Amino acid sequence: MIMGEPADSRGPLLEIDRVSVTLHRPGASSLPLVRDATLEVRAGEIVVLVGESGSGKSVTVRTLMGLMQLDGDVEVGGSIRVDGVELSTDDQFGALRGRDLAMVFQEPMSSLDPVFTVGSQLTEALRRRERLDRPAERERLRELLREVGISDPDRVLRSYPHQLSGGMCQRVMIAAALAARPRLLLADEPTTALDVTIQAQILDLIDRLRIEADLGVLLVTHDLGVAAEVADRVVVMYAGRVVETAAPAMIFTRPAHPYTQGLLGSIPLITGPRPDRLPAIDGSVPDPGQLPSGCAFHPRCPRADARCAVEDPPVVAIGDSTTACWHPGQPSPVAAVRDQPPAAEHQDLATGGLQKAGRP
Amino acid sequence: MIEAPASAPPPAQSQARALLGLEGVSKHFRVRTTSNPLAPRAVLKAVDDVSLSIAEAETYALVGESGSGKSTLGQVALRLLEPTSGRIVFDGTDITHLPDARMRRLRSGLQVIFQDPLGSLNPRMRVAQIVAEPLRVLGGLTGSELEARTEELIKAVGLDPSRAGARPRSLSGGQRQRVGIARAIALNPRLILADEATSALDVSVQAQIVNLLVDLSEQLGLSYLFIGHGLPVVRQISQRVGVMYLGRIVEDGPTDEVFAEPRHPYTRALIAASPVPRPGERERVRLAGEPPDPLAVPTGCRFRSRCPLATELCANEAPPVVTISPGHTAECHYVT
Repeated sequence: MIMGEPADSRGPLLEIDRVSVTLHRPGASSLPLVRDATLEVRAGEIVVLVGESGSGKSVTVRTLMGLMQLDGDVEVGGSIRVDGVELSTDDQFGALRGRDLAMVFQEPMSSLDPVFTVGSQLTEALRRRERLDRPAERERLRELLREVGISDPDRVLRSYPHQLSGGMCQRVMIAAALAARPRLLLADEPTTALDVTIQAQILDLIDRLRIEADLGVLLVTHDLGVAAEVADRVVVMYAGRVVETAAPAMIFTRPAHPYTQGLLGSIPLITGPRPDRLPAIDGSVPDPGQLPSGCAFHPRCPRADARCAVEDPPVVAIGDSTTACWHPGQPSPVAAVRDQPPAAEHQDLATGGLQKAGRP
Repeated sequence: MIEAPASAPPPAQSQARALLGLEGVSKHFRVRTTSNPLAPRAVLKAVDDVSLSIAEAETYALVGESGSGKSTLGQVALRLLEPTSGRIVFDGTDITHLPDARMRRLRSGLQVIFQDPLGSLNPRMRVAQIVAEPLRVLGGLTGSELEARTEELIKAVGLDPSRAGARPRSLSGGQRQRVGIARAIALNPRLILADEATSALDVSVQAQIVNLLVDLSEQLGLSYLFIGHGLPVVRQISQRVGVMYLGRIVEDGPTDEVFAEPRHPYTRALIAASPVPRPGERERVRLAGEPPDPLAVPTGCRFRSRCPLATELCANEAPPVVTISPGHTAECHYVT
């Protein structure tokens, strides 16, 4: 691992260049799961991939691990480079997987093997990188567990996964991922199954490891709050496409894409004024088998016009950010909605007022 | 830390007539702690001497970490589980030991919306059948009357009536939750238990369902017992909130007041840990450790093992319930 150099002088650790993932189904149309996704992660940087279900965010990280490619019906296009080296065959992924590339999954309980102790599972991960003698191995395992905030490593090493809490299992998963001293950590919703107090601890831990081990981290989440917490860059996906990429200071104050704006507006806050109604985005996330024509967001978009229904917008870079939208960057509806006074009138059932609830 | 809420909160209705009242309610489970079937069982106090009151047309939210007992409390409140001790009063009737036959007559007034809409809808039934079932079985409606009311309900929850023939599988998550809500309001209930009703939904759809629940409450005069782990949704939807920790409500008060000025150290920690989509705005207060084993609740104050303020007093004596303002209480030796 290269230490001590300023991050800027190095190329990106991970480059995903126009990657597409398509699932071919016998007797049915193919499903475009990821469409032309481009992003990069540098050492010592946390990139957060945000999206709702069906956005392709989890498929993207699984593709990076070479896991999607194991399925014969899945076709992967585009280029994935680690340190500038192109990865295309399963052998190339296999050489890096569990060593330079490590992954943490959402369900810590089901990602650990229930019939082996934590100690034996961590030992296996450790041996992906190096063979040590027994006492040295044991000491390294203790050190790993202490690193992820476990104060009684010996007890945990002897434990089976079911004897540990969800938060503890997630720490063990992270320790397993770190055992081989990876350079890039892929984390798929690593805190979604955990309580907020434990989530905060795990996010702190990932951030600390980023600094201490100069890790590059690609973290997938549906929670914009989590993104704001740890991200150096935020990548927003919708219906398989990257629709916006920007620094958090930008994306949370002046989002350019109407989807990002709508998403931010629809999240209730725990401070500040409370609107009577949340400004929700109409409709629901499209199924990959039934993507709308043109821009996939256009049926839900307040700014959509005739062109949006026909042509998919290209990715356009503005400064340090990118957006895929024909009408980007107009005044954010987020601020406007937050500032408006609460609506005064309430319709009642007799007048059919119930229908104002919006479309499904 | 937080400015005063700008939008006027709905008036705290603690003085209004209580629709549901819980007084000193406990729910204990006897659990096996070893594989020896003859060993004495330990007592797990999932809910430990809890009192709360929900007014008409009010939304009361319970928050807390998993294992805090909030779902158990919700089920006891509707007598889906029998309380070990305490008293439950619904609409002026003591229902704690009401015989099943009489309880059944009250059931239409107490409904539930579940977290997982797919798992709680019969996959073989169509939307219209699911919504019509309670009307048919308990409401005694038939023929065109049944059809008209079913369609009214489907429209009331914002579903396209053309989807009435669809089965749950072919609906989106938000649409399924709307079906679950239509079924729950079919018999004009007074109180709905919404247990993590928006947690499984996509962010953009969650807002739609929260708005729908608020609209229904206003239009139908419904009360909710809303159980959630996401603080932002709880703040949006509720007028009152109870914060649970290891089986007890440690802080209880008007939502706007509790969020603006949390008084229990656990409430403060929960709010501090809740991520907000505003980079750098949050104070970095961290709660160390995990909730203790509910079979080994700490002596004195149950929160003391994770509390930054804990002293010897907290280890020796259970904290008093301190009234901060009318309708706002916290259970702590050092309420600040």
